[in-house]
Amino acid sequence: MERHMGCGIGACLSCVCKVDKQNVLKYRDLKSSHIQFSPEVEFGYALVCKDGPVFNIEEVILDE
Amino acid sequence: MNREDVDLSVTLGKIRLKNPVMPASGTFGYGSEFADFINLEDLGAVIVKCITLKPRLGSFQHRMVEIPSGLLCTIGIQNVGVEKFIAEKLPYLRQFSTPVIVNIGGESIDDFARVTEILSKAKGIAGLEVNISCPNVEKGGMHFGVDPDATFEVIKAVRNSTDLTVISKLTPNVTDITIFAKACEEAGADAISLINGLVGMAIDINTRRSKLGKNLTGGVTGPWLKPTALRMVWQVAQVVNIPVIGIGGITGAEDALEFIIAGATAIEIGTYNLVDPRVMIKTIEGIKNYLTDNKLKSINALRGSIVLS
Repeated sequence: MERHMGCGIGACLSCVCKVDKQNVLKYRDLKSSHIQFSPEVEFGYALVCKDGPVFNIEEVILDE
Repeated sequence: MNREDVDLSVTLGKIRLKNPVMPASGTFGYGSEFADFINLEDLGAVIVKCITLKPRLGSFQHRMVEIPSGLLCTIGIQNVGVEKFIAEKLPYLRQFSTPVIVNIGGESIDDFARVTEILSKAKGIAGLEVNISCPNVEKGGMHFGVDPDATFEVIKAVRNSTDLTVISKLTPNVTDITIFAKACEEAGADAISLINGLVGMAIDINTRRSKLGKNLTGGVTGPWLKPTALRMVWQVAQVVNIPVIGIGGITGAEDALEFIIAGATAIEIGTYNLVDPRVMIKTIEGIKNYLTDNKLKSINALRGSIVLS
């Protein structure tokens, strides 16, 4: 994924990429990721600088 | 005069800072992100990302655009929520003697009061910086900080819920910022920090959509904001008796010193942390050099020393 990054070190939360919760769980250990999910919704935001820039296509939601 | 004899310490409410340099909330994560670049022990205080009662996912993606001399961005207060902050982020910060100031946000007066109460019970927090640039859901999303009555109510609610030092962070998106500064002082704030970002937008001429996607608008920050911030800090410092913290486009010691000469007690560096993660350390050293060169023993001697004639 390509995004404008503010800091590149996971601090500013600018370079987010919308991801699908169920599919992320297939490929990642959430403890070592910077992805934030809301309890109510099935998607979250991953940081391209820390969790990417390479994502599995199944993880990414392309509706924004 | 010996360089080591220079006293950089300042006081904000009950907080004694060893120097006047702090990160601006939102540009410094929860502190640990910068540990590879600087020692958090060297800062005047650590100010963490805005914390709300419930976790927030923040704005849609496409949150940042670079502009000449700054950024246009909207993060939308993405944060882990107060409980997770206390459980997972705060323990890391407790290992340093540097005071921790938590920036807080909310969608209602009650939200602010509750998050204040919870943080006041946690160990290792010295102060709260109130982000009044939050949409007030009870008033149709109008930001608290653009209504002097709502500003007063929020600060009063926070003040009544804590003994910690309360700092009110003002937005520049108002006609006369001194009215808001006075409202905060009346409501019991211990200090005032200013300014937050100025609302702006950018359009992609090929798609004719906002460069911030569905977010449409964002806050403009960075060096281009400094003259506006400096003017507002100067205005506010003249009308309140509590300490003022200068924020807006600071890139180093010269900028920081301008704010202090205009009347600021301390300063926060924001956007420039993203350009140079060591900028705060360089700023502290630069201030020390300036005071030594000018034979000033204490930074307090410089505050508000602007010559107007």
